Amino acid sequence: MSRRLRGLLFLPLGAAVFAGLVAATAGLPDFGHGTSEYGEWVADNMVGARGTTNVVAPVVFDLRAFDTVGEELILFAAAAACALLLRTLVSEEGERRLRELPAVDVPPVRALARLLVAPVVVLGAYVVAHGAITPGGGFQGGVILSSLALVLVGAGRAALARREGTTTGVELAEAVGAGAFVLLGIGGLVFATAAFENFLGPGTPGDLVSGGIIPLANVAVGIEVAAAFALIFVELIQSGAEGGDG
Amino acid sequence: MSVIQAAALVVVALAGTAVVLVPEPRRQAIVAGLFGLSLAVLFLLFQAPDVALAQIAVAGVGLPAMLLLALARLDEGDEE
Repeated sequence: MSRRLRGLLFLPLGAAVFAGLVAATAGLPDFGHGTSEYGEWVADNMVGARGTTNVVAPVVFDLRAFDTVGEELILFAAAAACALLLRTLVSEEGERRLRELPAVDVPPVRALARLLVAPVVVLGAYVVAHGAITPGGGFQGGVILSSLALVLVGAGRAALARREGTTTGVELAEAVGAGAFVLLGIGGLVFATAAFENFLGPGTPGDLVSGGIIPLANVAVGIEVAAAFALIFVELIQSGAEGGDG
Repeated sequence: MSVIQAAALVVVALAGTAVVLVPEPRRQAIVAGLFGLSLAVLFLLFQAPDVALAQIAVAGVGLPAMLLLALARLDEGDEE
């Protein structure tokens, strides 16, 4: 398609999208106004009822935990699909290339990556563990933890990504995380009356272990998210080494 | 709206435009990451620290890494 034709196509379509955006936002409340009843209720009640000082956490992992399961399973399916599409039958040629894949060997990158290993783990675990108290939680901390895969490659440990045990371990962690979260939901059915009902006591607001099942849900999601992202990274690195076939 | 919030909105608009204007995909992946981080600042200033953290994690780690790894794979395919 020529540049001119593209421009001609863009102008009316861009104008239409812009008009749609203006129409969609015209009816919104003014800036700084318009709080929802739901939001007010959550902010007023959740610290007392659930013992969480971060009121986003009980919305995501308690009141609307069923939605979160759906999101988690989407990520699970996406990582599985990524592995399925990228993992081709490894030919002998591919295996040889995989073995000979050069390690990252830029001294400053290596040094920096080695320095980052411990802080990444600590920060990720901290964000996961404090999800019920301060902003953060399983998803945010999980993504931080998954970056460990990239840091290790940067530190010249790309060989780890090629070892068969690594993929198995990451897959196992992903399944355990996703399963643990679903089990927490079933726990609500067993120990209380409905799926994802918070069947543990709220504890003292502000304590590391407070909010009933919310910290447990954070840990489960943290493991799942970290493993899902790490699996995608590892599969992409491996398939890159095998050379493109498409 | 405070001055700093307005400034953050302008920075996001500029960064978003910059992503479109960068012609080379590898550089574009990095600029897209920076655009995402500017969005994280915006979310923080609009009192959504949870979303800001998620944005930092996704834009700072996930998106550029996946784009760069995918581009590396495409490049290898070209060489053959």
